[in-house]
Amino acid sequence: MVTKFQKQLDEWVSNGIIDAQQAERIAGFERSKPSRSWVLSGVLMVGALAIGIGVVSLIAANWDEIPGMAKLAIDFLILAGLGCGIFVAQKNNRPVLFDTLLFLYFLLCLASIGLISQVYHTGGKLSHALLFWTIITLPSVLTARHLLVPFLWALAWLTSLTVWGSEFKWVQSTFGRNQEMFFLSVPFVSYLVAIFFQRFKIAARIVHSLRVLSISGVVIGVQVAEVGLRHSHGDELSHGTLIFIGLGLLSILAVVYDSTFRHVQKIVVSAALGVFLVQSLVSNDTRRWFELPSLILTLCFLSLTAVYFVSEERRRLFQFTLVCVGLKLLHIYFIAFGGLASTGIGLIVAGGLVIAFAVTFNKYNEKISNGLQRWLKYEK
Amino acid sequence: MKSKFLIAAIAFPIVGLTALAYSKQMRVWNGVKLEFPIEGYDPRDVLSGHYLTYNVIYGIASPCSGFSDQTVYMCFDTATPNVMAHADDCKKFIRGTCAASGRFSAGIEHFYIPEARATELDRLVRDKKTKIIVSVTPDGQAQVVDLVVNQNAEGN
Repeated sequence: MVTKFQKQLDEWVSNGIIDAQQAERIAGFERSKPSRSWVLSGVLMVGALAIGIGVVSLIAANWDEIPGMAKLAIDFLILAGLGCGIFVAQKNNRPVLFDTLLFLYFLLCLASIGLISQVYHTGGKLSHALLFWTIITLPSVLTARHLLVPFLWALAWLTSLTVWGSEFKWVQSTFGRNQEMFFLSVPFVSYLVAIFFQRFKIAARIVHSLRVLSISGVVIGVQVAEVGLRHSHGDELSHGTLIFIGLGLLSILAVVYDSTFRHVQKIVVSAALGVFLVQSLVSNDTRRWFELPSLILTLCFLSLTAVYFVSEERRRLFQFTLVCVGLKLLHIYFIAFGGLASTGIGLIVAGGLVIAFAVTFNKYNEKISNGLQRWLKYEK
Repeated sequence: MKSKFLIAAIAFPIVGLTALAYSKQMRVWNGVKLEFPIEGYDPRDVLSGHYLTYNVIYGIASPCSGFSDQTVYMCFDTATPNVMAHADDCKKFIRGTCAASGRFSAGIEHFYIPEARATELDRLVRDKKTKIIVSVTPDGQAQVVDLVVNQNAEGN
């Protein structure tokens, strides 16, 4: 079977970019590297996930016949066995086996917390269990070579911390009727924590995961702010809102000094965060005429996000974001010309716009993307 | 990756989990055993299987009367239990929380039950034919040990 990589090499040879000998040397070098089949990794992860879910289900069924202490002993033996397997896999340089066993070990630690809770009849909140899980598994997560375990860890940690934090009386009284501001602050906290770890050059994969989660959080937050906050509770500037603004400004400052961003990216990301800040504050106002500016802010945010993805050479994400920009333009059109949209003429015009956009997008998206990339590299 | 760090990283969760289980087991071994009748209902906890959630009948009509959203101590030195803000003058007490709703909870309001007997035990609890055995440490922390149904123990 001819691989994609081999096809690429053949194309380069046929276009005279490299000669046949160079192609052979490159192919030989790649073959000599330790193989890491992503298909095998994926299948093994699914198998490991099935085992993890199976163990949790067994716990949920409650093993009546086995005494509690025996259940715990078996559980710890399995954990110890997996731990030995992880150590041996690392010693023998088996990366796929190492990642799979680590993933299984990670899940079984959570299952063990559930088992202890069952044996000793303790209730408690899921957020507390997740927080404890993330604390005890942090050192092992640092050894992960694949991004999946650190990403799951970061997600569990942020979720448990957010839910746990929202239960504090201080948080409830500080954010008052603007509790949404607390949750909208989470992406900023995630980014600032990532910057902190990055500064001390520790936990690179967790840093990457936190950055991804903060981007995802901001993207979701913009949509929530546009739709959800419009129906929220008045427009007083609570201490919580001030904290939200402070975290936002701190994040923008962190972006300016973040060495992983290029110069143009710093401008784009800072502007996007600024738009998110303004969007969240504007949306707190329940007056109807703020609806159109709110939509336009979302459009600005999406456009900046598209530029950022171009700078990162993420073509598919750029294309997806461009589609979202198109849909948002339609949304603005319907809001601005609501009367027309309810008529047949409005629908015909809207349909024509969609077709025109689709054709233009299909014809020029590569040129737009390449042009933006060239411009961003020039501005580097 | 250094082997020593890897060994420590793998051992850390096991040590943490052992410490958690040990702390709970110590409450069972070292505490004073008390029995309380219960009444309640049964929701499902996806993570930990079937469990009963019930109200413990301490013998006081409104244990949280005069208290709201704070830690309190239910003292058992006298024939009728008494809820206090501090436990300085009490030898046998359970530490709990009075919620804003007026409910007293001490972390002993759950019991994990076999899936096959969930319906039967649920009915017995609703019919008030069950009691729980609780182990209480000197500092007032309570740990459920067993569920008793008409003199037959249900626990592990």
